[in-house]
Amino acid sequence: MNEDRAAEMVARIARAMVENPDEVSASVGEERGEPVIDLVVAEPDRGQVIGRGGRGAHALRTLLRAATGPRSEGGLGLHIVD
Amino acid sequence: MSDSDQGARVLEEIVTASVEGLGLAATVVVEDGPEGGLIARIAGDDVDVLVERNGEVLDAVQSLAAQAVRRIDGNQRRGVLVDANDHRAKRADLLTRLAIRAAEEAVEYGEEVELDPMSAMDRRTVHMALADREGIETRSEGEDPRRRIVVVPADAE
Repeated sequence: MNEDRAAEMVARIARAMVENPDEVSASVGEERGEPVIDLVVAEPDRGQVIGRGGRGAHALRTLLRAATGPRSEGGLGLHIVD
Repeated sequence: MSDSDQGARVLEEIVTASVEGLGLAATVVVEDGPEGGLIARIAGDDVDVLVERNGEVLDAVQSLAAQAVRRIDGNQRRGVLVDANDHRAKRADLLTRLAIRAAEEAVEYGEEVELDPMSAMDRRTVHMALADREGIETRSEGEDPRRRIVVVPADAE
């Protein structure tokens, strides 16, 4: 439940950041056996979400940790799908 | 701030999405901020998760919102602040008092006073608080996360 709410949070934030909000989606997935949010954005918007020096991605991961707990305790990471 | 201000709308949406995603019972209001910028104020009883660890989560939300507003504004470059229960305002007061005490000490003893390591945003607050003060100068030393301000008596330079 918490995970779906986290996915919705990431999707809403990403939509507010990009040129093509209709192409944004986020769902709960898995990366190397660990739970993550798979965030899909249009190819030209990837840089906009990731940010300079990865700041955007880092900030989203900080929010996810606050929402779902540290990764060592099953909290969600972020995977930006390409 | 007008209703047609798309930057303000994007700021409000990102802050609201964060507050709801964190499950907080808090309100979000966007207003005109200092120096022609925008400020989103979060208010509620349970905003601790935003302000603990020196406001790390608040900084994350602010950084995402600033990134989004910058895309919309282009070259206009407005400042974007996100605050919760006046955490930033209170921290700025605290840092300003700390800065003034350090400056008084530096002048009284004629010696450099080194402050604890701080984030770039906190260092900026301290530099600004002492910018117009006579008799001392400030500089930063060391590398993040240990970067810190040193208050130097002017005649020691």
